[in-house]
Amino acid sequence: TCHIRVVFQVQQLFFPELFAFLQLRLPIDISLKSCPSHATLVPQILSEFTSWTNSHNDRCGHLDLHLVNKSDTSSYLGTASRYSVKLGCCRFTCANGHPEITLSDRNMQLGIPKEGIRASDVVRTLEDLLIPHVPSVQAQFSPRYRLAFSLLNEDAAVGGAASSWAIEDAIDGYLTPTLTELSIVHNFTIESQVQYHAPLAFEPSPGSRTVADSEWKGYELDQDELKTFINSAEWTLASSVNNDIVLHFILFVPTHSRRPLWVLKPDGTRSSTNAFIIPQWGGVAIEYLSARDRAHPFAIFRSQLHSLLGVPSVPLNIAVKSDSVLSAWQLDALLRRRGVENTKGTIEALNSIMKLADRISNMPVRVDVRGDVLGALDALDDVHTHRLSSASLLSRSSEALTLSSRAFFNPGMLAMLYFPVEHKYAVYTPLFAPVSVPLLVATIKEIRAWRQERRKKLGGDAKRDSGGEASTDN
Amino acid sequence: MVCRAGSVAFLIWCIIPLATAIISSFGGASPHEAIESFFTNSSSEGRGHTNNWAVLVCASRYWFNYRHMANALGMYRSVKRLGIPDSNIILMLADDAACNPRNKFPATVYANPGRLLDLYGENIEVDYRGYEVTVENFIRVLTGRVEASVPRSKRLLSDERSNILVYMTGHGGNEFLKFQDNEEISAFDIADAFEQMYHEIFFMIDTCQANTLYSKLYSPNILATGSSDLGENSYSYENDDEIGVSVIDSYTHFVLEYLEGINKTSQATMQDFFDLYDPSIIKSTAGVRSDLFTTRSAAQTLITDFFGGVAQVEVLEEEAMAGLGVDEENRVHTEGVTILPDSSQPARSPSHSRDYRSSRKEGLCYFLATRSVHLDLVHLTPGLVVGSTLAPSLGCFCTTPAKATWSWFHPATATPFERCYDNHLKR
Repeated sequence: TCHIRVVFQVQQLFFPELFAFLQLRLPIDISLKSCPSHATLVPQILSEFTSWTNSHNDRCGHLDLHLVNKSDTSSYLGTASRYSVKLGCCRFTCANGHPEITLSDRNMQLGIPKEGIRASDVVRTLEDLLIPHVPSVQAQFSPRYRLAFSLLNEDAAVGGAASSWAIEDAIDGYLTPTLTELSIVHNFTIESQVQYHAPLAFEPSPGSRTVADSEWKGYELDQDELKTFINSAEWTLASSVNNDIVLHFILFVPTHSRRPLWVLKPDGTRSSTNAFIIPQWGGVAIEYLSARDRAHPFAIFRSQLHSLLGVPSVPLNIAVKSDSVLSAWQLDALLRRRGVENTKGTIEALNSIMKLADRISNMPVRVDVRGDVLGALDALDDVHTHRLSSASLLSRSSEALTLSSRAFFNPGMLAMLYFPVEHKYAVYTPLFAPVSVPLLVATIKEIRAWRQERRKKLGGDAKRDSGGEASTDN
Repeated sequence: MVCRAGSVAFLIWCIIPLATAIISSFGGASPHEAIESFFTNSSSEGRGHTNNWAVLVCASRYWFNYRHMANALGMYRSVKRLGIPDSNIILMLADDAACNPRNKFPATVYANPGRLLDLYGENIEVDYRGYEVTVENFIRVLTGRVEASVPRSKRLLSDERSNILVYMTGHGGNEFLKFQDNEEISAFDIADAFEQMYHEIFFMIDTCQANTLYSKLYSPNILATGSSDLGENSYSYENDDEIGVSVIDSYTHFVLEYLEGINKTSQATMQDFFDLYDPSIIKSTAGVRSDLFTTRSAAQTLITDFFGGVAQVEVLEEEAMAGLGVDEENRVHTEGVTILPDSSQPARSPSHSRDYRSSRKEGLCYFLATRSVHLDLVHLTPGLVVGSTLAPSLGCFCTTPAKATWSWFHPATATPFERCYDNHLKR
């Protein structure tokens, strides 16, 4: 294999341009239209919006936001994401003076109640939809995820346990639509299993709250017990065939003597869904196994999956009219956010590669690393210079992230072991000293001999020049 | 003339490598400039860790270093008990003490002279064994630069919200640790290796002059502790006369004794643990380095933040589900789960066809009770469960060094042996 020193090239060619990459600006156009009775709101909203974008540069610095009045058509950019906001009068009774907000595709209809609304409310709604907060449970980005569904019976030996589940139908009904929609972001592989003996590592405490129906007293899991719920030592949860990130979804059926098992919220009351999410890892739903009115476990899994993938949730006061599971606003926000995070990750990885190559100056950088770095730079270039749609932004940035991580974690990019100076002397001296001593002595002898010869020669010339016949021994 | 030129040429050819070696030693860049650990997102300060990893390394081989393998296995057991799953533990054992021909008690590794607790057991997963434990592999694991063919169980797949526990034991000296008796890793290499994605690292070393090994660390958010100071040795704890070698080191023995008192929900902090360091008990001066551990202090860090696999959870509410695309039609009144019939008559416990997941708890007794047909009484050994096979599911007799108790149980109730073990042997 050929070890090519490409480090200098990378530094000199691309270093200054990398900083330019930090100024990613995604264009977004929002057109604002209002019915005549609320026309006075429009300039207020425009000015409020401008002041908000100027003051919140950290949150929307990567977006090039334009909020324009519908009548002004000249400021439409080519491939910007376009949204429209229509202000109208409240059609049905607006309760408590709250506006009636409906989303359909990329349009938002705002029904203003009789009392009117503040411009800042409209701006805040737009902010929640365009730049939603990142859920803290969001898993690390990966182009491929493995979803592992497990039906765990705590102890099937005593009877009354779940022997199987209609998982294929449930996945078709609840998950396939959303997975298809999210397929532009990630690829999904699904696996499932049923286990009949999955004991808990602790005893849940008996329910303390007295309920009218004493049969539902059951057992409870508080926050500390929830943290240690997953008994990793004894449960086999997912196959580890490759290095994909796995999101686990567990439907836990407690043993007969321990039903019902409730999940407590942090404030001590019982959760209505009896489910919880473990950040970056997956979700758990505990089965009631009664005919109680409750959400289907796979609906719970679906919302847990959305949180784990970072899909933004629509604020509660907004109704969504859409054929698909996710509205276009949510999907766009997710694509933008993941695209920006991936771009940042790529830049960090490339900076780290340069620092590493700088730090260890005699580390050879292999051809495949060079190829990956150049590929990542190409993709970054695309992201920054071309006006990409959100979907292609995400795919190019995810390509860039994969290539730059692969380059950074290439097995050849390893720091060489450190040898202190004393070690180097100690290793080299016994090798070279015995050889060099005779050589040095020989050199000195040679030099002396050469000098003598030279002196003799000069002396002989001098004698000849000074005349007199040199006595020759013929 | 040719002779002279030849010798001069040869001399130059010899001198050049020596000269370059000397020059490079002066001009070479020092490899330990401070480099901020990348991927530690600045916005993750104030957010805790969400997963735990442990890298446990025993770097010495040969039978007389039994105690180093017992050290690593003892830490492995404690860390597993406190909740870190096998998939998140990388255990490196340089030699096999349990199946060593000199082991009088084959397939066991004990850490205390009375041979009370077998650390080897039936359910351990050693990721790097024997000659795979090399300095190169250790550095590759820590930096994530493993070959593409390395399986998932041998990789450290940490992210920027992982807390990593790195425990190393073996023979060491001033700023080095000996691997397999033929190579060594220096403190500078370890410092350079800690640049992988992580949230916080706890580095614990049990060797001679261990405190020197963490002296060269520079990456942020590392808390380090070692068993002995510069110029001091770390001593073993006790010998076992029948095994014939020392079975545990005194520092690790101290740590394991402390961890036995910790469970998953303990609120003890790292500072509590460090305050208990006593040179007269450990027989050497254990040290702590916390100047790199800046986001919070050791007094605010729980023991389980590094030793346990405890994660924050978020409870999902139905109202929150509404915003995520769940609506009224998802409510069901029937179950999508098929239930086994509720047996009004207690099921007979099939004593030898049950598929226990936790096979490690059965051990000798389960084996005997399910296979021996004409055995009336199984001999008692401290801590074992006994069943009479005339009435195979009658009861169990458990002994511990402290007491002996007998428990009855009904054949219908499940897992007789496990219950006995849990009740009487769980600490």
